[in-house]
Amino acid sequence: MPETQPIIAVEGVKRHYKIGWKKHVRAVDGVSLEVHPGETLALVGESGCGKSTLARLIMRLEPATAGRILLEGQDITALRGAALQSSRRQMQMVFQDPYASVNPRLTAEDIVREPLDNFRIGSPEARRTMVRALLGRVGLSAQHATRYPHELSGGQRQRLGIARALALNPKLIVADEPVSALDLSIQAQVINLLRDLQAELGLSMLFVSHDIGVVAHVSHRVAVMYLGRIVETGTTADVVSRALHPYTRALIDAVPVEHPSQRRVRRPLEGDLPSPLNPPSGCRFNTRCPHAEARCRIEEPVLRGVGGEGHQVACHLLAEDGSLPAQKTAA
Amino acid sequence: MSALLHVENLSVTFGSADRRTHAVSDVSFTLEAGRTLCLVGESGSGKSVTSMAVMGLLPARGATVEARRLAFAGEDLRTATPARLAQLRGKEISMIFQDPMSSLNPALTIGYQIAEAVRLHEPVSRAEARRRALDMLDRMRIPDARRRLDQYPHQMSGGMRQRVMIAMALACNPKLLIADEPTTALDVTVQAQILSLMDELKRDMGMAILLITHDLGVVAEMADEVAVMYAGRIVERGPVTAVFDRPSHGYTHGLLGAKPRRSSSERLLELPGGVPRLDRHVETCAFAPRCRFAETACSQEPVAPIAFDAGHMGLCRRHAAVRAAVAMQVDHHA
Repeated sequence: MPETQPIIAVEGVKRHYKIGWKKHVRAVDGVSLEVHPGETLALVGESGCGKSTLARLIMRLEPATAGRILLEGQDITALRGAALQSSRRQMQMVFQDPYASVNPRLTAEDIVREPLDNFRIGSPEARRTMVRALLGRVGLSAQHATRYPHELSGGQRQRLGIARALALNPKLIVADEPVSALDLSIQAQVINLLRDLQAELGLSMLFVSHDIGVVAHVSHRVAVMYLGRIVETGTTADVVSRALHPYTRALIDAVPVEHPSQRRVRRPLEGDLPSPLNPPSGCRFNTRCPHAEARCRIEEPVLRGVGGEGHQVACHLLAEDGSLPAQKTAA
Repeated sequence: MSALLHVENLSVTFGSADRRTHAVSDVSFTLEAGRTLCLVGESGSGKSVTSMAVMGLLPARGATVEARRLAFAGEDLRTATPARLAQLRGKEISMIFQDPMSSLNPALTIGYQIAEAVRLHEPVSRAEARRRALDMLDRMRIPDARRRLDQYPHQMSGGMRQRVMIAMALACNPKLLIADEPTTALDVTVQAQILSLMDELKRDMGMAILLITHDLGVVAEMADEVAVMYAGRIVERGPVTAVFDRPSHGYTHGLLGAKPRRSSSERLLELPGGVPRLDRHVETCAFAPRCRFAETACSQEPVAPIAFDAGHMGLCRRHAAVRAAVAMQVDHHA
């Protein structure tokens, strides 16, 4: 890992929702991670694993139950009022549904100008120039500027959402499934746009996604979440092509093949995700893990380094060479 | 061998003469027992409308369905009475949709709903129908099936509900299953469970599957044959390996290149622009404005079906150029 100060550092963050007398949903339950300058970290996991909640915690859209969130070394966990406002300027979000996340009664240029107006950046004339430049940067032309969101296609609306997020020149972009709602041909356009922006602006980004293929194309590092915890983290190449945690292996194995010649008999993961209301004791994956032993049901594993380049895995059974004990044969 | 489902020159339009949407134009395909045909395309390509037309589910007011042939097991579906269609649907032809929650009745137990499907089509007692429902849930590998029978849809996860939908669709041993994006709303690990289950049932029961999807991965996983749809037309159709190895239409080539693969981090192929409006009937190639291979003739002269090789055909006058580009990419990667 580079020794630079991370843009964002999350330390032991938890988010528990109280849903009744002594009942809590543990959506995020002790997560630590860092995003370094110019880096894209992908948060990967299935529905309900807590990846979106974590993104919202970092944005301070949700209060953390425990833990700290540091923006360039400054603790923003407890900020309020004006201080919180100014920290918001440093972090901007891109949402999944580009229609639900823009005001339908504003034109494209008004939508992008709104953050500039809110923070009173430059003269009105300067703002107008900035807005045109931003729209151009994401591939929208002058004729799109005066249109309303419903007059734009899904891909164009998502470009608009990206332009708005870039308007304040933030230190961190948090993108929550930004291409999941788009058709394949449009998705490729937006993924390429994000890659261009990374290269040109040195963007730092937290990229939340359920799609391993998309993640392989946009992120430098990956953190895999399961039931509110990170089970594996490392470089994208390490995690995607040399996955070590049994859950990551199952997740990647479940991705449909790329070519019909790769079809194979597989053993899909049995059962459903356990409830985060009452997660399994010990390793949270033990109820579905084909390797689980007695220890896995009692002791909770912590992330430990396996292999190089910060590849970390939370699994008791993983040997130093990355091998796992034989699978149980019981069906 | 005569096909189970035979669709020839199917066209569907919506609206009246002055504002007409050409949702499906000149679609032809056949599907044999025990085979899976994937209709793949992006939103608005007409893949769902095609399946709705086959099922006779489009509203008589508003939708105009025309076909030279629309036959199921030799029976003409165009002239079938509504009563006959109701008999076929759910018995011989079943359908599952993307969102199981909106296809299940929230006020009835799932056991009742599966048994209802059986009792509607077969003269069996309530007890027998319930036994069949239990048997189906077992086959769907739903744990603790006896208890699940008396549960309501909201008590189940998304994957479990989709299994209940499949159980209901298959309860009468249909010859054809139409599955419209059956795993799109599900997580990948659950998708893998459902897809392998569908494949297994296809083998056991010898039924045919018409699988509608936008996901090329699902196609690679499931299809025997694939038909690629764009702007209401099948632009390329053939055995799945042929289409993946030798895509011969500019759009298929573009789609395959736009798909993010975990095995690569190279820049994705971009298809510029978006899908065209369908308010006019066009005889020329609708994809030409976005196609990197297009020449002037593509947007001026009508396209006619061209046979590429055995069972592999499509609508692309530039198919030789597309194939040459594919061959170059293969060399480049080798």
